[in-house]
Amino acid sequence: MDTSATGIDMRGLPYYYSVGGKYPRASATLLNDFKAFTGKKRYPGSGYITFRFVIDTTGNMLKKVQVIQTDEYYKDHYFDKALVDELFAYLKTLHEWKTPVLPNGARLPYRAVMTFKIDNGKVINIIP
Amino acid sequence: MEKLSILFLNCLFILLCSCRQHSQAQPAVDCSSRFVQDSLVRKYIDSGANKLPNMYNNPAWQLYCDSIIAICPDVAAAYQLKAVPFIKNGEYEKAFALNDIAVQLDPKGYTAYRGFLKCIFTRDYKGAIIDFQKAAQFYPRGYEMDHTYPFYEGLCNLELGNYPDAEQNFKQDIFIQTGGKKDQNPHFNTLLYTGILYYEMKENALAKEYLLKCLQAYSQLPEANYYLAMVYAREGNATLRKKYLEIARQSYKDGYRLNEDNIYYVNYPHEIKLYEIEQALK
Repeated sequence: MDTSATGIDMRGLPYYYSVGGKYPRASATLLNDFKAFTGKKRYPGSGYITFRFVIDTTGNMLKKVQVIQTDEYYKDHYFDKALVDELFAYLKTLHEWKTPVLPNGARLPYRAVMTFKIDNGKVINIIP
Repeated sequence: MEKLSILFLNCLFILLCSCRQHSQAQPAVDCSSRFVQDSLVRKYIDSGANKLPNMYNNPAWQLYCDSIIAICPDVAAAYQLKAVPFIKNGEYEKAFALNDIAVQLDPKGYTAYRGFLKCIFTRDYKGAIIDFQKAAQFYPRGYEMDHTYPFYEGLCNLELGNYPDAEQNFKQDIFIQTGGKKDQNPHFNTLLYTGILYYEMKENALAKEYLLKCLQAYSQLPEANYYLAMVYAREGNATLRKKYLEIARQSYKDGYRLNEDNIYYVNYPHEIKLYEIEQALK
């Protein structure tokens, strides 16, 4: 996972909301799935960990991923790397990304975003 | 050569003087004037940024907003607009730094909007409630994005599990919308979320009452059909459970949604998808 913004050329690609690409699960479903997937280890800190990445024309996530982290007051913050890795491992289990089709039949890659809201090291919400 | 140099220096002097006089002649911009602020927004946003391809995701969007700030640094709208791509694209640090400036500059105009962002975009329900309560001090019957402030407080308290508070919020929301008149119908999403609240409170009769009222206004709303089916499931009524789940599924397939402008960006509280409907039908 590339956790820096540099070197990722997402420019020119539409965001998921321009192509109806919001992940097709309720937030509660995602959270329940995450709880089943993850271990019980707790990490310190509260805030947000956001992953931005590209979904290609086959509905797969490309390797380069941008990670944006803030505390609960939206200030710059870094969570334990193990937590970020755990969230990313879960993110990679999501395989139902939409593949928007243009009027000419071509499929379109797009930029997707998913945010995990953390409260005292526990994921309490997943925001597609 | 010497004459030419003197001529050049004279010309330069005249030019500089004329520029200085010209700049002195420019009337100062009165940034405190609402008219001036609105004019800047019209010029740089309505006639500029809003016409860009990809609008706020076009890098020039930032330049248009910065142009306003360069002329008048106290125009709250410029900061709020500059933050739009950041909130939608998950850059919360940048988004809230800018929205905080907008609130600082114009608390009456932007506190409720920031509360809305916290409630719907970042699920910071406690923070959102604080903002809406502050906003209500300015506008006790205020609206943000088509809904009253108590509506959003109700959503926040519903999601926090503070059900008695949420109940009071939705009652207040309904009162603001209808003025207490029984023949007036509140917004169907007020009815939806009040029904969902009673479903969560296990108040089946009230949940059905509100969800059925919601369906009278918007019969295809998938969430209303889905949660009504959940109430019937709890009551052991398999026939009505299946009936409303099938309506929810067909409505969802036909493209019916919560009918809120921002559902393209984030899931609303208790929003469901086709997946959840089909899982319930299994």
